[in-house]
Amino acid sequence: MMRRTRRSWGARLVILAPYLWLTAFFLVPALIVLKLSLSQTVIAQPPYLPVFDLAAGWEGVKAFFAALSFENYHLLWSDNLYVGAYLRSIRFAALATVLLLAIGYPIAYAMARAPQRARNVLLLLMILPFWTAFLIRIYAWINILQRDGLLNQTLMGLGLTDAPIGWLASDTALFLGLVYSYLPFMVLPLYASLERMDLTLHEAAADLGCPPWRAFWLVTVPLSRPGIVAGVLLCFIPMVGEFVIPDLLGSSASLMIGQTLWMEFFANRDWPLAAAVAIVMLVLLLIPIAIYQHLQTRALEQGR
Amino acid sequence: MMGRPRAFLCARRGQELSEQHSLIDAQSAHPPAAAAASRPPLLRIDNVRKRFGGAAAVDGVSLEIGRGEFFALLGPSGCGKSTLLRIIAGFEMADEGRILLEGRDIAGEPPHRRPVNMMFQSYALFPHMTVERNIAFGLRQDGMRRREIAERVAEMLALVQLEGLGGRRPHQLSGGQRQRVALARALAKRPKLLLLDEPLAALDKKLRQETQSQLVALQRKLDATFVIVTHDQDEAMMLADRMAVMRQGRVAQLGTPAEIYERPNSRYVAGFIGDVNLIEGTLARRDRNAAQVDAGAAGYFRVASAGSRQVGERVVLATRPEKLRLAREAPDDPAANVVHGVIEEISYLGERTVYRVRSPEGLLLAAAVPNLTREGGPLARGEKVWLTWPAEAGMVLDP
Repeated sequence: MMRRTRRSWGARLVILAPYLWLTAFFLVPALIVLKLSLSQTVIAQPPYLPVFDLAAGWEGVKAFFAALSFENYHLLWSDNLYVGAYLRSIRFAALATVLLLAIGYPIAYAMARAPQRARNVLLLLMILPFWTAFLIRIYAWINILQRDGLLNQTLMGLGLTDAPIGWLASDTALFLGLVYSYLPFMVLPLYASLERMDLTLHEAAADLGCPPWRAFWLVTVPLSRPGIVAGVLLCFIPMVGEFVIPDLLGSSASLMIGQTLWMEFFANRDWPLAAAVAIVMLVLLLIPIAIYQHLQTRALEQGR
Repeated sequence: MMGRPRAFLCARRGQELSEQHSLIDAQSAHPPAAAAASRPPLLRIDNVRKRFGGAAAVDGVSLEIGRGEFFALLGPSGCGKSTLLRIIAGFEMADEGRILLEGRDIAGEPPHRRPVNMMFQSYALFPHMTVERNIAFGLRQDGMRRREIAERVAEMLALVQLEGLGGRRPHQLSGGQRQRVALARALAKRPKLLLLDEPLAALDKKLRQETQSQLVALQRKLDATFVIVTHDQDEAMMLADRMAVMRQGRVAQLGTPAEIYERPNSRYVAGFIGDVNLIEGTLARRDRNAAQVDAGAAGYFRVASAGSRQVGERVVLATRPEKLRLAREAPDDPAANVVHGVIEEISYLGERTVYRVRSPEGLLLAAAVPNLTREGGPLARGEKVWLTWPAEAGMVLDP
């Protein structure tokens, strides 16, 4: 009896640990941001109101809650700047995800069908860029794309163009940066699902009269769906909130939501509005995750 | 100078099966075989070779398979039987040789254009499709109309007794059910030739035996041509009208199960199909209808035929354990071959008991005795016994 109690305490502690972690480092900060988003900006230290005052007692608590408002959210909705930035971010992220899927799938397929010994080398090559800091790799792209950069020199050397092309600060450069940076996150889950696929299924399809290209659509693609979904979510979600790539490579005429957030926070020192921008983004990103969860549960239920 | 009893279980069963088969042979197996000779065969494999790296997997195989025949490719793993099947299906391309289906060479055609279907050892069912979709897959590829597909699928489900399970996914089925779905899918297009790659290997013994009878019944009912690959000699004997025993990429022997069991052409085939006692010696004498093998200290043994071998050649005398008679008393038949020895080991196997008898000269011979009554054998280990067999039971093989 004693032993059982003690063991169950240990088990409870183990279960509790991740909850404590999530509470301390995820839930509490999220609640602070939520509270901030309901506050008003002031020129003070800290730059928002209300501030929770313990000394005022119960009256202080009541005054604190009375001072909270949804004004920031109203502002976000009524100003085209923010709505536009959200829509643009989602559009850019969606388009980049489609590009990533179109480029990543053949790469993952080739890797999964490569000879066993070559696969590990290819996998290593795919992960190799991570050994250099992300920021440095983006700066390297700036170097390549600038007016007298490698790309323009090559194009002019080949006689394909007479004058240097302004690649930087354009949507082209932005997409290039996004696709380049997120490619491993698309390829790796796809590779994982393609690599463990049973190749006799393709022989079975061929045996039943299915030419290879059609077998790809009828067998390979449906069976790699978990990899596709994982890759799409892994890329789409962080790309919506991407800051560094649009800021360094993109055009200043098409701001993404991450940049807008940064400007509100650091340039305008409007912490409450920045917090509201972040909360809306969080909710927007929760939607695809929720859909994915729903689909997965349904697939699991079908499976059993 | 040693008998080599192995796989006791198989010896007796082998005989029973072969007896069963000789009945079947008399009725049904011979007509297709005979017809194959007069009509052009459905499938002709002509000197097919395939190398992987340096090693020849299939080394010049020629075979003819008649319409409506149940043909088995039998051999140990690595003998090239699966490669040959994959060459017929089109998953491997032969380096050399022709594969003629109804007279047309299909060796260069990709698998999806061959009117041949295969049932895979792993079944290879599409996990993301229902049973119905799996069976309909090949029909859809042919652009068959929706209604006809539905009819054919229902017909196939009934054929393999899976009515009502069409909506399930493969992982919701038992192993035996999956096996039947795979069979239904391979048969749905009514192929001219059905290839079966170790189709029963994943089933447990009881289910395997049931399925074997069902498979034979199905093949008769459909009047289809089946080619099965198996490493299980019992399975090949039970199923096949004719079979090819393969060794190192070549056909070691071709014939009906009874022919191969009773008249193996080599020590390899004799040992692979059923259990066998081997006595080494030299051919001592031969005339028109008898020969004698000199086994040294063990004496001379009479055989009915020594083939074309010459006196003085080294040979192996092979006998099947069930053809040896075991007795306490010395036999009175002067024409029989006799070995006197001591029972060294007794294996009780239910329907028969196998006794291993050691002679003073060092011969070790196995004799299988059917257990016709419920009282087990009265013989005990260490007892002195006489083994006898008629000249016709012995087979002279190359060493």
